[in-house]
Amino acid sequence: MSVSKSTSCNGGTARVSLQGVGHGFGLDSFLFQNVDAEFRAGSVWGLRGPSGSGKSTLLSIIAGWEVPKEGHIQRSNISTIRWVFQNPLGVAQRAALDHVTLPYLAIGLSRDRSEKLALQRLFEFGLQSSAGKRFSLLSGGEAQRLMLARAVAGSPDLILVDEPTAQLDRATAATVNSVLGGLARSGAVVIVASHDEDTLDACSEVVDLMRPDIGSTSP
Amino acid sequence: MRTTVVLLEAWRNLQSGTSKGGWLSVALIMAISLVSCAELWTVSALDNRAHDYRTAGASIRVLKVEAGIDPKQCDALSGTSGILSAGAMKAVAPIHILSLPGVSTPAFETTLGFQEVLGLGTALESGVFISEPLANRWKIRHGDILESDQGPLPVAAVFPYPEDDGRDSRLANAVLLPSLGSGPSDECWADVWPSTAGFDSVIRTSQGTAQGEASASVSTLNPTLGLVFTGADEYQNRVTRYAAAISACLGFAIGLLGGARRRLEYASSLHAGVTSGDLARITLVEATIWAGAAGAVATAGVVLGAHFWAPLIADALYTQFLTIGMLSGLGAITGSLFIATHSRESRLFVYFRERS
Repeated sequence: MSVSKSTSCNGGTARVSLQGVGHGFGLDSFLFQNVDAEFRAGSVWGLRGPSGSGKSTLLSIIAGWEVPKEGHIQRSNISTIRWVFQNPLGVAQRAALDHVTLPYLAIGLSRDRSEKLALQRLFEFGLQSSAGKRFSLLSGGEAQRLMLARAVAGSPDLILVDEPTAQLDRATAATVNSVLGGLARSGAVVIVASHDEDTLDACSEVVDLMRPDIGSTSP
Repeated sequence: MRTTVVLLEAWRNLQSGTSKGGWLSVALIMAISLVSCAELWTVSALDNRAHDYRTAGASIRVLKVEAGIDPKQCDALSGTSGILSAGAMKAVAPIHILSLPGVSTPAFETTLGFQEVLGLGTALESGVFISEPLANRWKIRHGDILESDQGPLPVAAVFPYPEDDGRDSRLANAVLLPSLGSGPSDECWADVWPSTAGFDSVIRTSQGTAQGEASASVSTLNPTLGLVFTGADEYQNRVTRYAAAISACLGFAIGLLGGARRRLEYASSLHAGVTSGDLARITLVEATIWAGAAGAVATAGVVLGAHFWAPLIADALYTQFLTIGMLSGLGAITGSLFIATHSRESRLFVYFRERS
């Protein structure tokens, strides 16, 4: 990718470390326990687990939006976080290009410069021919790839992707999985929660929530 | 975010339908029209009642003191602010119309001011005045000559004086003879508007000093519509006196509803890096355009409608209509901004779940 970063603004590499993290919603019940992992920039990290195993909750804990019941989280050089939900979250009437342009406009770039950069992101995620389409007219796969492109456009330090293919058929999911690797080149720590083995195969490292004690493995 | 970018984002949101500015404008136009029409209808109803009250002669105060009224003093009352016209009259010997043998017609001598009370003006030819009902029964009109036992009496004027609206009916079947006002009269009539009993003491000053009595009662010519017109109090206490405040609340609610529908979009924009200040600026421009347009269109429509439907009171309500339009627009902008400034990136999950 032409806009990427391997270090954060203060010069260090973005990293998230989990030590003995556990969480649940009852007094003594746990969705998961003893999760130890270190997520670093430059790789796409998969988070494996069946539905209801707490993948989204762990993402929320990693983002700092929820406090774990036990364990510690250490975030190094993380200042901006971007989420990509399982349901693509866009503005129905605005064009695909507008969605990716917005993060650039937000940091004060001109519209011309922002649109040029946004078109590059769309190209990287295979959406160059859909730039002018309204979000409501995009297919499920296109919409999800657009969300990934938008997440990258903000040059975040941490990208959290929650079940990106859960709502898609296999053929469409494949188009999304094919671009997941591109997220790693953004220079952010990328964590993808999924129970889809094809999606996890597209990740460079995987943490299994059902067997957290074994740490990360290559898929 | 650059100002040109803010303006263009707002415009694109409006143009694309993202802001739902069209629907919100329609809702605001309806709210403004509803509130303005309620105010117009209320004031118009009061105005109609006031018109009916005056037309029925209920605003005419009558002081009766047999042979105790100074006609000149009574006529002079019309110089008092609040008394539109005043004049005196007294009963005189009935007149016998030659074509109606055996029938005597009551007659009254009236002053110049009394002609004004009856709405006749003062510049009239010499002759007698009769009411419209009597003129219709006798099949005569202005300019005809009545042959009477007192000689020929030219009809100088026919005045409106309905018999069936509850007013004192004596003049409906009488001949009025203009006089110069010499000698005491029996009654002093004063058209007081806005109607109030507050002028009764002034009217009593028309009594001749010799017979003057402070306690002489003053009544109204037509008591069936109330002894005084309460329209002024009803106007002060009308529900629609809060129309401007109500329209501001409705505008605020419309702005809130329009904004609430976009909380997820707002939170998503914040998550994409847009600052809350920039989000507020974009929302302000959007809301100002749709609410401003709606306020202008609705106010213009209401003013135009009032001009044709109630031209007599429309002038007095233009300021109120303008206030209603402006406050509802400001309310809508405030409501939209309230949501935009209270949307939180940290609530993105919550808004997302609520949508799902």
